[in-house]
Amino acid sequence: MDLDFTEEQDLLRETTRRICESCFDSSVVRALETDDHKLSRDFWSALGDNGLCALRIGEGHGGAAMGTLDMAVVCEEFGYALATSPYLQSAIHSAGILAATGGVLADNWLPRIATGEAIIVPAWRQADIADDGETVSLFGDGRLSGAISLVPFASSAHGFLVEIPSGWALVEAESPGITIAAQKNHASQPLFQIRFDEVQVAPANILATEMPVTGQDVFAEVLIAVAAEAVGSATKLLAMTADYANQRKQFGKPIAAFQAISHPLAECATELEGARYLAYQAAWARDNALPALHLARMAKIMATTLYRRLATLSVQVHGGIGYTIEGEPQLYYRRSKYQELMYDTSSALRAAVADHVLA
Amino acid sequence: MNFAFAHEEIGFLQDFQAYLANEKQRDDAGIIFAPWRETDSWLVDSEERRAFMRRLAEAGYIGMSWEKRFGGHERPGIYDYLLNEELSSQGAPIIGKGVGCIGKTIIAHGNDRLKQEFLPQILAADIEFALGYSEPGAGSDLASLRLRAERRGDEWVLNGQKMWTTSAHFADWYWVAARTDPDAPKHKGISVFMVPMDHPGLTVREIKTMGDHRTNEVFFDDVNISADYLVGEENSGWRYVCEALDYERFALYTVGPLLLKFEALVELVKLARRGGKPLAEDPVVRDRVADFACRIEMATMLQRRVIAKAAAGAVPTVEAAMYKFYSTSLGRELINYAMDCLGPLGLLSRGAPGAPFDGQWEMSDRATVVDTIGGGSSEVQKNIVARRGLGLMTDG
Repeated sequence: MDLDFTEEQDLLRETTRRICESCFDSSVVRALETDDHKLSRDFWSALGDNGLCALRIGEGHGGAAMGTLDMAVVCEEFGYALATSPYLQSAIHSAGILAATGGVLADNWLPRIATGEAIIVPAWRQADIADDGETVSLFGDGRLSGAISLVPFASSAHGFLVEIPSGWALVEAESPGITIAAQKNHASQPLFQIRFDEVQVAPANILATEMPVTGQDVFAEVLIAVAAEAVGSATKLLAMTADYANQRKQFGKPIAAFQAISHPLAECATELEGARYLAYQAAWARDNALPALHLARMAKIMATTLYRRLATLSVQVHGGIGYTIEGEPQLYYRRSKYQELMYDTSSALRAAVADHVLA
Repeated sequence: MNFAFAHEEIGFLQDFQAYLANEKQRDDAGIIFAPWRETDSWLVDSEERRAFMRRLAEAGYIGMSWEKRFGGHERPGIYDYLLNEELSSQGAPIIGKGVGCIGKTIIAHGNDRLKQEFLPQILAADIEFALGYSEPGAGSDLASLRLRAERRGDEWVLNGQKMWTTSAHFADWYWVAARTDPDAPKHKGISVFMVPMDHPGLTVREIKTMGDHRTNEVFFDDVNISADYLVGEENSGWRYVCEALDYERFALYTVGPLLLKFEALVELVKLARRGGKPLAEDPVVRDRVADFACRIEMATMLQRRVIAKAAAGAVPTVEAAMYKFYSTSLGRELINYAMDCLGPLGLLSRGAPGAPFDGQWEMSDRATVVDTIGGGSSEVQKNIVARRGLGLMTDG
């Protein structure tokens, strides 16, 4: 057994951290909160230029063909910096869907996704609550109609992989009949509702799959990425909170000296390490062709719920400052709920875990 | 033992409900009745809300529990509580600091000038107060406050800073705890003053919060006030602050908003469908809702203990501490669970296309973060229960 990273992985982490530090400090995080598109072009270019978008794309399509664990390292660093981009949507999820299908579409799009030049975002039904029948249907004449909510970075995308009953339909963002509306949200994330009004789709742009989105093989990759990102954010937040508890004095001593403060933080630290290595294990399993979806689900549940719990605790430890916009904890508090609810809720994932365990 | 309210109390409440139903017909009712603002809905922070309070005063609802010689009705304190239970449940401003802690402290300890100047204005709902307790270095450890007040002839001069003064940007007068004897032990060198909010030496700076609530920090630069505006005796301020908190407990610890949250959760679970099936049929959801139902009833019992003890003329310090931390953390947990029930759509804010319940739960999740922090954090409340309730020898 060896739980250490390779030198290459350490280097990858350093590179990613350096990019985040130079392009995505706290002022960028805050500026994007009120930006229409919420995309840092500098950051996105840096990811492309440094080959990070190519990480999980095969060599035949101009990629680096690196592993899921490498991807997890990168996403953990994104989380640490609260650095957001369409990386998960384009370079992981869409790239994975296209690679699994192969053919002309993959040949066309993967090389451009690998450089970051193209942003392809999957538009699938995240919501598991009935919402006025928001689904997209593909009619016999090749026209696509309907609406999908909660699509990240839709306003910056060049194309969408739209969930249809038979799989995915690749639709270019410029196609006539597409309208995009921003959906203001809890975490100030770039979420959009896309409406498709008789959008023409060529038969060659249909990717047939049988599994629902969250059961597809590539979805394990998405879950691991979200788990790693949550772990990264929680790591930063825990350090920040411990630091504050050591500095803030009440009753003549640092509040860290009160066990009401120190013990809950120690509990979070413990679960954070458990969740971190659970995410690594899921990634390792995937890299070694072992069953990974079950582990990925557990990692996503545990990492995101821990992140949310820690964020709630962090706000409390910070007291009034934790409630202010000026303070940092609110950024994490709101984002942690986003991580918890997007890409399958904990309750949906737990149901899948139960199915697996009790099978 | 009798868990029911008395006949005349119920009659009073029904009359008041009818009064409010009438108020809700007005064009500006949307500003006055705003439960979505969470605890911010308590504030008299607009002209419409001020006018509403003045109408309450004209209708005789202000000063229920004050003695007749000060213009009150000499009714038991439970009537103030009943009013606030109804007001807070409907998201209207509550009868707060003026009638409660400030008015009662002035009645008990204030000089004649303070009585003559402030009591009639309070009864007419013509005055709004801000409370100046917390400071950058004095949060949970409130008694370590450092805002300095020095006597110069017939005046006091105040210098320093207050934090978290929610009402500073609209209040008329500031109720301020300041240090008058820096050499005395920390609880024994504090005095309370009344300061006009429009004093040129005061600078109010907005602090934005994640709950969309405004609060403020206030800077004092040689704020001089007449010695008449010292409340009660010099260096007795800590006692007044504690007494004032006790007055508050009766009126401010309502349970209605929490009960409404639970009703809204039940409604959500009945309406929402997941995978084509109503959430209400999901055994996991049913289990959670049942657990919330039990704890909501528990919270109600803890609240009844506060009311009953106060009604009996005793100070419900431990009871109020228990209710405060139990109910506020339960409320936050319930909202978080409602978000979970809504799934990712629950992230959408007011006005976003597709936002369920127009983003109400999303807003509540941000706005109630302060509930376990403000007005004495959960940690402070647990210390009270541990020390004064259990007799535990705790630190700090």
